[in-house]
Amino acid sequence: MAKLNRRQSLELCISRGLLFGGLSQQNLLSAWQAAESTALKPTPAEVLGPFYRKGAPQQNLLRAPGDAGFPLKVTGRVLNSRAQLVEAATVELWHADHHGRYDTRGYKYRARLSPDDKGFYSVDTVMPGHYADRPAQHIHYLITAPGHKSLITQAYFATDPFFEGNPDKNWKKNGIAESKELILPVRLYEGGATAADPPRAEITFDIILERA
Amino acid sequence: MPTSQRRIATGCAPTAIHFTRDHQHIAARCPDGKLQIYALSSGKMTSERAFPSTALLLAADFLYDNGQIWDLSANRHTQLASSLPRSGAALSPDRRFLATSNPSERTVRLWDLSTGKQSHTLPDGIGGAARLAFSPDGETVVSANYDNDIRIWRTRSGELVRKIDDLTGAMFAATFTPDGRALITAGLDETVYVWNTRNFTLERKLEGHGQTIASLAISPDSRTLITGGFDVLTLKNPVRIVVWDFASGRITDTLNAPHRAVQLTFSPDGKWAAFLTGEKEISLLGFA
Repeated sequence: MAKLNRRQSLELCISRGLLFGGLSQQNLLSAWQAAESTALKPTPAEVLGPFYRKGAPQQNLLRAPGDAGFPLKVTGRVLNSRAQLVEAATVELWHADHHGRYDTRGYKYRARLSPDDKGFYSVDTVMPGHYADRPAQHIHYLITAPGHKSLITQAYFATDPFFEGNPDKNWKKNGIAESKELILPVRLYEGGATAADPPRAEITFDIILERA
Repeated sequence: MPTSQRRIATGCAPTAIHFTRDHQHIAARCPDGKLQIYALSSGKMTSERAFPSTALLLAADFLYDNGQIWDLSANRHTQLASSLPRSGAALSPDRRFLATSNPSERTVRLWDLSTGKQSHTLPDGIGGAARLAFSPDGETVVSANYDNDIRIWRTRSGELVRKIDDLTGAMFAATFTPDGRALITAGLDETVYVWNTRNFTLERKLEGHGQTIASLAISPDSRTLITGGFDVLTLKNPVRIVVWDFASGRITDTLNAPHRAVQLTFSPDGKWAAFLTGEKEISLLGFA
């Protein structure tokens, strides 16, 4: 096997498969500027699943020092279908560790987030692992906001070997994902000069809520 | 504690089991819809009947199929006013009421089978019912929702009696004690909760199963509680079956099962408990 360069190695760390090549994620910001009145399609819903736990702490840093999982930064924005800021939204997210195991006794890799005054949220965590009964990496979301329908959904990773390098074609595989839109491109940040700034995967998941 | 443990080999991996009312048999529903009846004494299949794969087994001789409720013992059926959502369901012990969950509409629907009509649409939580259960007198119905909350309603009026909203994990199992004085629930947080049904406040907690609990059953004399676990990583990992002295809350036995232990149920005479493992078998525990 040819020697991998740094970037290739990092990509393999994320995916054990192909890194999604196109960084062509829809840029919602430009969409609002171009056509503020254009209705945005609400984010597709998924099932809540059995591992949801109420009472997750408000925390942005879910990754602990020495964590074996590959670092992942998740960012996004919560808006309504008219591309307007959603006031007082709460984003709860939870996912399995890098072995695919959920913390059912505590709140590891579980968070409750309050988006900032522009609707942005972010969390530093690790890439979730695979588990046999649901073999695609995913992050669960529950988003609530006054005056809006609660949304239960999930984010998937285009780099996941489960999608065999072609999520456009394979997103329906095994009935895992409800919608192609929920399979997100993964960006690779190669890291800075210090150990405090490690390489990481990044995804952006913008959430569009429907009014109640 | 159980005095024997054995397996009935089945031709399929059943998805539901119910003991028959004669105490002598157990009914199993296969994924393809077949209803198979096995003799407990010999483990042999005594009858088999084909139903569509969409049929829902509600009791050993009672099932739902394509808008109709079939009472196989009486050989009669009831047409429902509309089709059921394909999700969880529970039948009241007197077979008068049926509760079904519709996660997409975030409701529990109650059906009066004497008329075939829906009697109530009850607002439920956001995740859908992980478990629905009726009290022994059929007057109370419970939904343990994936959103971690438990809602309790009066069956006839649809009145919400209580919403238990201080749990931090879904309850995958819920059953009333045979005398109706307590509701027992267990689930993600590995704990058994015993709720007093006078006001549905917490009476006590039983800790020690040490795994997420997928199912539970209490014996007809209320002396023995059994909890069955599942592994949160995969349903193919070994799990524990824990036997409790219900009055004292003491663990009297811990057994291992190769895979999940779901659909735990006691025979009406209390001599057998049965559960499913996901394999082509029914696991039986014998009680003297």
